[in-house]
Amino acid sequence: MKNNTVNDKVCIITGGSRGLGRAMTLALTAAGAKVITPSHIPADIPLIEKDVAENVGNSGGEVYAMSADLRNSDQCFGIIDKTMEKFGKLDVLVNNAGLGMRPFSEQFMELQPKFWEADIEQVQMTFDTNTIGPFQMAAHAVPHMLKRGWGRLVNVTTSIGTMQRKGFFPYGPSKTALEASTRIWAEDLESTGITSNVLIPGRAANTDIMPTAWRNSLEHPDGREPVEPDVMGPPILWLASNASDGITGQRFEADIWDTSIDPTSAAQKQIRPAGFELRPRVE
Amino acid sequence: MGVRGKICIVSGGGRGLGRAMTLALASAGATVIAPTFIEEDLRIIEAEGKKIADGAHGNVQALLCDVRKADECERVIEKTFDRFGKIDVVVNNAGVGMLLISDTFTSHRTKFWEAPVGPVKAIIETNFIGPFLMARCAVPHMIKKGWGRIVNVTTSVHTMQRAGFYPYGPAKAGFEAATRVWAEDLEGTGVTVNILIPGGAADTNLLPGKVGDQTRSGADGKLINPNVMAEPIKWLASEASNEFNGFRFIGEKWNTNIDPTEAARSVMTPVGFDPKKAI
Repeated sequence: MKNNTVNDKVCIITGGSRGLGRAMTLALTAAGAKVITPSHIPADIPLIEKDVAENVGNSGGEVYAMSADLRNSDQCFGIIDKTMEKFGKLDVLVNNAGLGMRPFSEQFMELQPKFWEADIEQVQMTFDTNTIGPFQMAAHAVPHMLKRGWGRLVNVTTSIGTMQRKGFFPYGPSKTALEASTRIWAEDLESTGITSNVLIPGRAANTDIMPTAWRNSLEHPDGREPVEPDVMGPPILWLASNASDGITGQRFEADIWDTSIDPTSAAQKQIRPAGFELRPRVE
Repeated sequence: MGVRGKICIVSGGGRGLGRAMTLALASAGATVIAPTFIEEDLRIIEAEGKKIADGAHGNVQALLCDVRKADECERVIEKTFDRFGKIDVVVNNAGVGMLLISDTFTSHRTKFWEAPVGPVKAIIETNFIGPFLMARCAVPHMIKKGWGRIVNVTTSVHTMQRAGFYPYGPAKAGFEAATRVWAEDLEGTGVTVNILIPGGAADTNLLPGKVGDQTRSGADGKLINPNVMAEPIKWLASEASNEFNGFRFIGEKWNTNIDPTEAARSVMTPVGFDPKKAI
């Protein structure tokens, strides 16, 4: 009988102190996991520590919040080293930290910023954070996981639509590259016991990646209400557990995760390969 | 409907697919600026261009450029504009492949976690950031004139997500998505953004071994002649392609026996992605 809990699993959640990352941190610690949350915002450290303390109960879970810049390879190494030093192993890496379109325009939803007007440094920063950062974390994490024959890489990308939507350069393409990476990593890691999957909220989430006015708005033009970050809880608990052994190269959408059934059944119900196909010919 | 008098920038125009496109455009009467990273290519491509293009009033001018550097891309665009007063076409062809990670990537799959950070960044920055740096400088000139072409060289959708192809595949996937976004950002301006790819591994320096060695092939088993790029790039750079924005064209499938617009219609698919279907 498999141990299907995350009790004692050691997880790194990048950007784990805010938004989707915070929701996953709270879910995992409440279920007994040790979670390391590297974040580039030092002020978040006491906040996430407090949130976890209030939420963790007697699960045995704990959070270790730290400040780090994921664009810097040495600092990524540092996060992994610190994790090994403190907890002696690494089970799960969630590449959640990401930069969105707000730095390009607070009204990016309405104004659809033009790619040629984008600030060069911000474009570079977006790619470094959303695409290269996850690689640096994964490349440093995998050797530790290989030694134990078990591990999880979970990448937070976005919908295939957003990846190529008008006005979404460079966010969309940076997430496209991460989606393709997830697929390749899964195949590179075949038969190692380490899986590589995508987990997304499924639609725009109520986090800092979205403009404040949009989050506070009572009307949403596409008729779709933002999803709350805590939808990430049930699927990440399953992904981080032994119950998801052997499931790799797939993508999961939190907002349609069926919490009324057994999690493995919920996963099977919506499972879809990570990656994409070309658009068909238009006759 | 030709390309005579068109001012075209073909990044990486000194070698491989870029060389084929440079020579095709110049021999049809275009002026081609070929920014290249490899110094030894400068003289060679200019000499080749001279031989082939003189009678056609075309010409080739090569200059050194590292497309990862914003100031170098800006210099290429501004120098071209100052000299010729316009920029009609930018072909984002310059790219680096998996050779930067491993000499034997076609026979022994690389593992992403063994890839050194430096080459990973070089591949992503050359294949993805470089085209942005070129396009961002060229587009305002094109919009002002109400006419322009951005042509992006990506890769097959399989290579984008193929085992052993990190980070080349993901960099090209990001580039493909960028092409879709750019095409929509530019809708209605007279500037189009399309993709042109050979249709498989080509006989270029992206593969291990020597160009011309017919025993080589890519992960897809192919070895395509770079000249398959010639006819489609001439059509894309001409007024005949005015109505086509956001499409991908495959050189290998281009029928050179029929009218080029018909050939284009018969191979084109929309740029961009659909989700993979549930199994």
